[in-house]
Amino acid sequence: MNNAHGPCHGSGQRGGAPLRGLVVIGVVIASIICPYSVQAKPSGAYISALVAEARRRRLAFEVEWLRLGHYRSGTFGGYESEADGVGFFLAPNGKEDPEAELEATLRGFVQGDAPTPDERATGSAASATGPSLEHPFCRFPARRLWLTRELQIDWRRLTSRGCPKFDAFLRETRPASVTLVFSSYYLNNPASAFGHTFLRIKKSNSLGLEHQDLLDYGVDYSANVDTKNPLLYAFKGITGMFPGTFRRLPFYYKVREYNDYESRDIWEYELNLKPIELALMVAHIWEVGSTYFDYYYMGENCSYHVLSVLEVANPEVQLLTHLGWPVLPADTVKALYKNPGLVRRVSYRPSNRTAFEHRVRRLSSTERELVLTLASDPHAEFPPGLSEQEKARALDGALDLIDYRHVRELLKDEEGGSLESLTQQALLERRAELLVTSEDASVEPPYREMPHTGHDTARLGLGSGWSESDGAVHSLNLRLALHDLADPVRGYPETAQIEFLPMELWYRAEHPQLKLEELTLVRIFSLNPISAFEHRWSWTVRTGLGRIRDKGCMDCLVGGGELGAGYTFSLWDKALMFWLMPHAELDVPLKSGLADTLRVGLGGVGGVRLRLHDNLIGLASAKWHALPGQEPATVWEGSGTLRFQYAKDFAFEAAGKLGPDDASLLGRSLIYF
Amino acid sequence: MKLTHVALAGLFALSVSIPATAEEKYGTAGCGLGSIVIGNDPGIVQIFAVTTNATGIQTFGITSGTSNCDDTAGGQTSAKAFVETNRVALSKDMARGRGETIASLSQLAGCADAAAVGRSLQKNFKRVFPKAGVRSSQVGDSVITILRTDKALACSAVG
Repeated sequence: MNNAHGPCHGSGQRGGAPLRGLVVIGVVIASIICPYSVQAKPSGAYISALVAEARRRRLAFEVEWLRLGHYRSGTFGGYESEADGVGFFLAPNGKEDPEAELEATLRGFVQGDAPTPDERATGSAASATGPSLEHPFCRFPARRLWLTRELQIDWRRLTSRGCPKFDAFLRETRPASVTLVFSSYYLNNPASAFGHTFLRIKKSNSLGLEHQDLLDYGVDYSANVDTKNPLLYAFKGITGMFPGTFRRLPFYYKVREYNDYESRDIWEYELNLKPIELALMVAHIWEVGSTYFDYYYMGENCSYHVLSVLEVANPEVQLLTHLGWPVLPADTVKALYKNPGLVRRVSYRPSNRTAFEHRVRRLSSTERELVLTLASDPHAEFPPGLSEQEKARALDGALDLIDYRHVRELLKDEEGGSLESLTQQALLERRAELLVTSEDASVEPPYREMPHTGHDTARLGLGSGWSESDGAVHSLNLRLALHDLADPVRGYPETAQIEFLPMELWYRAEHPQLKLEELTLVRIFSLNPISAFEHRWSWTVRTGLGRIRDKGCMDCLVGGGELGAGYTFSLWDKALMFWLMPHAELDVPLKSGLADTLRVGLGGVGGVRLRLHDNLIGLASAKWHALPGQEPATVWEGSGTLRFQYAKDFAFEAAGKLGPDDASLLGRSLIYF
Repeated sequence: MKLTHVALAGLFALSVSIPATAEEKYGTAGCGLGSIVIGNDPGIVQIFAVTTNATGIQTFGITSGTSNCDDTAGGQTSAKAFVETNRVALSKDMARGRGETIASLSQLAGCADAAAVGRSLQKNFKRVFPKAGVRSSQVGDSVITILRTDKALACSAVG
C-alpha cells in the first residue's frame, strides 16, 4: 500500500489537527459560498459606504489586494497587473489601477438585478462580457473573502447569489493542505532540463479512509503553445507571446507523466498554512483559472506564477522577492525556505527508474540474473527450488525493467503487436498466476538530492594563477546557471551537468590586457553509468566561444560546438565515475576568414570524477582529436579540478590545464548566489 | 536592457520549463495517459508537432482540464477514467495483487477492503488483459464489471 511515497523530513502534526482544520475550513468555505439571500435588495447606499470606507483606509494598496490582483509596481511608479485576460478586471483601467479595480469589484458583486432563474441554475450571468464569464460575485471568491473580512461586509444587506460551479470546484478539490511539487531535472528534454514546479491540493480525508495522493488535484501553470516553428517558438516564448494558463488535473496524471513516462523523481514541500489562508489561496486559484498571463520562459514562467498564487495565502510570506532572473524551478523551492516555518514536511516519490533500482538492490544474485533472463525471454524456465515469493520478486523486477526501458514504445503501441508489449503481457500473466502478493517496495528518499539543499543558481568565481602563454593572470568567472560535475553535490543529481552561459575573463598582470577566455551558451553532460540493467548512452554537448592555444591557432578566440556520446562506468554508489566518449568538434576562429580556417576535430574525450566527500570533488578529463588535413595533425588537452565546498554557497577550487603548447594553473574562490 | 535579455535567452529559451498545454484536440482520444503525454512528448519536435491547431484562451475556468476526465470524486465514471489513465501502473499492481493504484481505485469505487480488491483483480487478471493491446476503454469496463459482480468486495460506488 502506498508503496511509493514516504515522509522523509520535517515534523508534522498529523494527529487531530487535520480534522479540526477541516471543520474550520468547512466554516470558512461555507461563508464564501453560501448565499444568505437570493432576493434583490436596494444596496446602492451600503455599497457606496463600503467603497468610501475602503478608499479611506487605502485598502487597494494593502499587500493582500495587490497580490490578489497580481499588481507589481511599475518602473516609473504606479502599478500594473501581470494578469492579461480581460475578464480578470472589472474596472476599464483595472490592470493599472488597483483602487479603481477594488471599487469596481465591490460594485460588481451586486451588479445587475436579482439572479435570473437560469442564472441561479448555472451560476453564470448572461449579461457578462462573454458567455463563459461568471458573475463577479462568483468569479472572484478570494477577493470576496478578503473584502468581506476587511470591511466586515454584512451580506444580509446585499444581494448575494449561489455559485454552483465554484461550489462544485471546492467540493471536488476538498482542500486540506497544499504542497509545492518539484519534478526533478530531466536532461533528455530541453523543455524541462531545469525541472518543473506545480501545486498539489491535498484532499481532506473521508472519514476512516487512508489518504490517496493519486486522487488529489494538481494545479499547474503552463504556456499554450500555438506554433510548430522552432524559431517562432523561441521568439514568442522569450517575448511573452504565448498565453499561460492555470489548469487543474487529477494528480495521477502528473505522477504517470513525470514519475513513469519521463522517469523523474518528485519532491514535495507541504506548506504550513492556516485554514483561512488555504481557503483564500484555493479561491484565488479559481480566480486565475479564468484569465491568462503572458508566458515568459525566463521570468514569468511556470515557477514564478505558482509562487505568485501561493503568496496570496499570507501577506507576510515573501516568495517572489527571493527570485532572481532567470527564474528556475529549484529557486522557488529555496524561496519557500526563506520563510521560516512555511514548509511543514518534505516527501519524495521515486520515478519508475529509481523504484526499479531499489527493487533490484534487494534481490539475491540469482534473482537478479533471473530478472535479466526474464526481460529478454519472458517464458524462460525458473531454476529449480525457487519459492513462489522468489519467483514473484524476479518477475516484479523484470516488469519494472521493461516498463522504464520501453515506456514510450509501450505507450504508443496501441495495437499491442510490438515485442515489448508481448514481453510485458507474458510477464504480467505469469506474475498474476503466482497468486502471491508482492512485498512492500517503499524507497528510502535520496536525502542528498533534496532540491532545497542545493547551492544557489548563479555562480561568481574570482581567482589568480599562472599560464605559460600569458604569465600571471587574474580570472573573473561568471555563470548564470546551474551546476557542473565538480560543484557541491547536495541538492543535485550526481550524474548531470547543465550550464547556461558560463563565461570567463582573464586579466594579464604583466602585460596588462583583458582577454575573453570563454563565453559558452550551453554545456551539458548527461552521464548514465552502465550496469547489467542500464545500457543507455552518456552524452555531452556544448556550444559557444572558447580560446585555443596550439600550433594550429595560437591564442585564437573561436566559436563553435562539440558533441560526444559514449559510456560511463561507476563504483561505490557513483562516488567514482569514469567515462569515455567518441567526440567531434567544429570551431571557427573569429578573426580570420571562414572557409580556410575551419577547424574540424574528431577523436574522443574521457573523464574521471571522484567524490571524496560531499564537500570535496575531484574531476579530471582529457581530450584527443585528429584534425584531418589541418595543422597540427593531432591535438590533445588535459584538465583537472579539485573543488572544496566550505559553506553552503561558497567553494574554493584549484584548476589546471595542460596541452602540448600551453599549461595553466589557477586558484579560484567560488560564490553561488 | 530588454534586448540583452533576448540575447541572453538564446538557447535557454528551449531549456526553462515550459510544458506545452495542448488540450481539447485530445478530447476524442479518450482519457488515457496518451492523450496527455503524447501531446507533451519529451523532445521539442513533438511539442511542436502536436500544437498546430491550438484552441484559443480558455475562459471557462479552472475546472476544465482535459477531456472531461478530470474528476476524482468517486463513482463509476471517475473510477473508469482512473483505470484508463493508470493502465500500465495498474496492470502491474493487479499482477502483483497490491499497490497504490489499487488502493486509489478501491476508494473511487467505494470498496470495503483494498487488499481484497487486489486479490480479486490478480485472480481475474486475464479477464481484464486477455492479450496485449486491449483497448483502454475495454480495460476500464472489465475492471468495473469485476468490482461490481464480486459482491464480496462490496464496492458501493459502482453498484
